[in-house]
Amino acid sequence: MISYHHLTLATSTTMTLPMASSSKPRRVIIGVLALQGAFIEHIHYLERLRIPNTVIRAIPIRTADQLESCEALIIPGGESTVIQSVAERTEGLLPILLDFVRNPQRAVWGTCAGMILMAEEDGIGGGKVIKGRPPQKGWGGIEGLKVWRNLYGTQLESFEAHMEIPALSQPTKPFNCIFIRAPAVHSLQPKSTSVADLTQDLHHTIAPTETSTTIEVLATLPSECTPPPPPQDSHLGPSNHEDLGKVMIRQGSKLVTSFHPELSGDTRIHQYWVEKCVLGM
Amino acid sequence: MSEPTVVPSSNPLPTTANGSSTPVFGRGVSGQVGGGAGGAGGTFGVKTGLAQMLKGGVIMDVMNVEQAKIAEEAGAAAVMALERIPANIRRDGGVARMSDPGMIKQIMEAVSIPVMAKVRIGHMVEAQILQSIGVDYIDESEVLTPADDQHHIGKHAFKVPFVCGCKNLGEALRRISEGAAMIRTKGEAGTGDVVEAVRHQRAVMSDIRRAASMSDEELYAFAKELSAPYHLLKETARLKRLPVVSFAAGGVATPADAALMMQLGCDGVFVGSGIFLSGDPAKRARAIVQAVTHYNNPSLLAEVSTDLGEAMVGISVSTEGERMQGGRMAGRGN
Repeated sequence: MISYHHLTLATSTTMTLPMASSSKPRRVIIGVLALQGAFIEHIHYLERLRIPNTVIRAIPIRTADQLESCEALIIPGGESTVIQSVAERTEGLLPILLDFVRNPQRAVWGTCAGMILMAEEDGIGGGKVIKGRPPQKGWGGIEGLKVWRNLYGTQLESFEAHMEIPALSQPTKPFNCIFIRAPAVHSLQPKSTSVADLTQDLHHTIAPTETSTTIEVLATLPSECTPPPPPQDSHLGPSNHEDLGKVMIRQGSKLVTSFHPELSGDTRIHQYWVEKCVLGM
Repeated sequence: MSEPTVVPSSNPLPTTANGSSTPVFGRGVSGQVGGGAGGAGGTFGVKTGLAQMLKGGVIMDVMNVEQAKIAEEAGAAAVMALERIPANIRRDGGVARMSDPGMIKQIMEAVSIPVMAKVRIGHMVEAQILQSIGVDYIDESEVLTPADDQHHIGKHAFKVPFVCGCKNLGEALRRISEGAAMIRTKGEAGTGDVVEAVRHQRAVMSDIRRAASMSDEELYAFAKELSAPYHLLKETARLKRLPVVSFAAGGVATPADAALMMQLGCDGVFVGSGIFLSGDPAKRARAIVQAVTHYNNPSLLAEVSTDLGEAMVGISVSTEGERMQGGRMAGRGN
């Protein structure tokens, strides 16, 4: 009994210590959509982050109520058709989800299947047409983003590539990017904003008035690794060859990656998204 | 469910003795990307990675293009293409082999989700054939008649990933050691009776919990007892789960069965005969998909279990035992 009491005391003391050392820490609840796919890894990676004066809580999201308690959301890898159909069939979830993803104030990050779902409404190509079912609809997280499913091919074409991503901490340390039946950017054609390529020039500056809407390209595969162009006569229109190899893109609080940072053993992209998109640091 | 699965990243595969299936490196990347080692296909990280993406999902047995489309529409995370579902294999008897590659290709062309197919235990040529037509995953399955009663396929030699069945932890770790990138329970396929899948999952979890509390000396002895490689047992004990994704299979017939297997710690569920032998396959398939996501939500499970029509009739494994048509498949391979 006594030792239990001591334990409780000790725990609560350690927990209050960091708070006492500075101003009140910012508490952030980040949801990870947990309908299907590799969501638990995102939760564990978020829990591993150490950001000064910030307390991050990561929770799995399966219902509308759970989503409403969050400030930010990760849409994980998995099968985009499954995530879509489970969301549609879970009462009340899809409308709240769409509002969340389209709200410029909300930070949202889509990986692989999540990137497919972040495309604009009529921006998903590559799925097989099933009689009586309209083409898959994007959730509209990034303006002008069109995505082609599985453009890199079947599992036999899945691959890993080590890439330097200048926007991350330790920019010269290669990031192990794992592409699993990965989607590719079909084209990036925002109507109202510009596209800035930050893979070459880290010091590229974006005017403050533009920052929330400019599309920033943060990682591009070298030309020999870019996938073959998709059919040019689809409902998406012709693809843009220069966009096919863009694998990490940010627009304000929104981020998409066609690979799986949650399988890399490296938390730097999670750290980047939380710092830049969620906390606005 | 609470621990992450380890994906050993950028782990180049050993070159194989069989020259014809030496791993081939992926899409054109060779030391040009960033400053790193370049992009490689068929690594263990890439093979286990697809299994990670299937988690929380349902993989459905389909016998033709129509069923494959119903499965995709219902929310299947992948389909298993085969000429006869396990219940029919039991009914028909005889030797069950790899399906016609033409039939598998038709299904690959009809759906955009991953397509798996089965090969006989130990039949590496069937596996080479399936790899050459580009299936996404191979199930080295006890549901088909084994081609080798001593050896499983050396799966590291392949670029395509494999899933294998197990009855207990030792068997699971032997399969991973041979190169399986995903594990499933064997259960008792084609019966609609979930009891064997439950037995196998409970056996695996129970042994993992024992291993997790052991000292190194005890782990060496336990590895000997399980006939499992020490390093994989050690990793399993550290993670408190199998080091690859693990699904339930063999006898799942209802949304409640699927949720039961998830609550017992499975990452997802295979449903074989249970869907297309039921009264309303599309509705049952949708219900099982919902049940795997919301496995901890009884009121939602009640909703999706309502008015599903008839479940497959099934065979009670405990009353029929060895007399059941087709016998016990779980005993094949070890």
